[in-house]
Amino acid sequence: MKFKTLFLFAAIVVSAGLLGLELKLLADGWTAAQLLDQENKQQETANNHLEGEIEGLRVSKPRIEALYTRLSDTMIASRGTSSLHINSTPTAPLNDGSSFEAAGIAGFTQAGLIVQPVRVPNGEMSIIYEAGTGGLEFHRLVPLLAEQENADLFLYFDKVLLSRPPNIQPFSTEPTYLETRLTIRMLTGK
Amino acid sequence: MKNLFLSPERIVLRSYQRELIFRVVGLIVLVTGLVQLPALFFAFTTWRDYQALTDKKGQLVAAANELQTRLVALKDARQKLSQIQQWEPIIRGRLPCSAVLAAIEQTVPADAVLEKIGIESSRYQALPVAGGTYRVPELYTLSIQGSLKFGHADELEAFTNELKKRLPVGAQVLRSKLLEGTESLVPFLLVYSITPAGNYSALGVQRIADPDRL
Repeated sequence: MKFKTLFLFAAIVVSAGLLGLELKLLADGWTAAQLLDQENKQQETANNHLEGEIEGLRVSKPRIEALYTRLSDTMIASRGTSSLHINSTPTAPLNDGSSFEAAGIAGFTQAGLIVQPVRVPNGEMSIIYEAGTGGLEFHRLVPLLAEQENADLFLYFDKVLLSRPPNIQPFSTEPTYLETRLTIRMLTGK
Repeated sequence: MKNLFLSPERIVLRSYQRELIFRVVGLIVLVTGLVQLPALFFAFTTWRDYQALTDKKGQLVAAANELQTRLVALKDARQKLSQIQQWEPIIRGRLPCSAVLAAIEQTVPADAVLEKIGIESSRYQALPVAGGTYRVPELYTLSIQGSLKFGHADELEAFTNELKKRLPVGAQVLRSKLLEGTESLVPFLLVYSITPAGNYSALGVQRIADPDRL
């Protein structure tokens, strides 16, 4: 009787062990295949994304170049540094009335505005000016601002204040030279 | 008593054939043997799938390498695009003040005269640029002080709405108010808040990315 019980128990143990081992191996294999499949899907998605990016870059290359050139040119024209190398050192320091400054603000000074540099907050890559005049009419001032905004796409007017001089009566047909105050901020290279 | 008719081997064999425990063991062996068939089939299909997936992985890695090689040729364009993308929020956040002034000029009623126009930026966000940061305003305030001829005070509402249509989407009228004035003129104050959202087509401004028509 003891032998029979032992025999039955041994058969159960061997059979269960064998089946368990097989199941574990099969599960491991299946998991490995699933992981590989998942990796492949991720790689495939990444490849598709990369291919789309390459195609997009290839098709848009002329537009990118044109837009980049336009943006860079605005900086070259206004500050004398090429943003093709935006990290390049400016040709002159900012506070010595150099051509570096003058180039950026030349349009305003040529139009008769009196320009004064203002302290730039720490860490900001900009030059800031306050400009003022009492000698421009509205129909001359707006094209000037438009021209400067188009010339430098990074130029900000932080403040524009136009007021009619008190000595000019409302609805006067005489030329009205506005009292103009501007705060101008421009991006600089490193 | 001794069994004289059956050999011990026969007795053992008979006990293996007929006793319940041995039959159960036989059943277990049979079931285990039968389970081997689907297990082998599953193992084979898993191995075949794994091989196919390994081959596919090799192909995908080769394709990725080839794409990387192609991308190298476009490195310059990619860098320029990246730089443009870095500049983009700076350009988007810039309200074209000249266009705003032109819009005011085009919408102001004939019976109104303007005394002061102010455009002021506020709520700055510091954006990273090469070498530091650059502040970009998140809000502009446009204030207009002027006067209407007596009897034409109702034109303020039309002016307010007409100008709002010209301003960028999202512009809000903060104040549109008639003030106490003289006998012949009725002063007014108009205040708008403008959120620079990058779309200034209402102001008649051409998109920077558009090709130059000239």
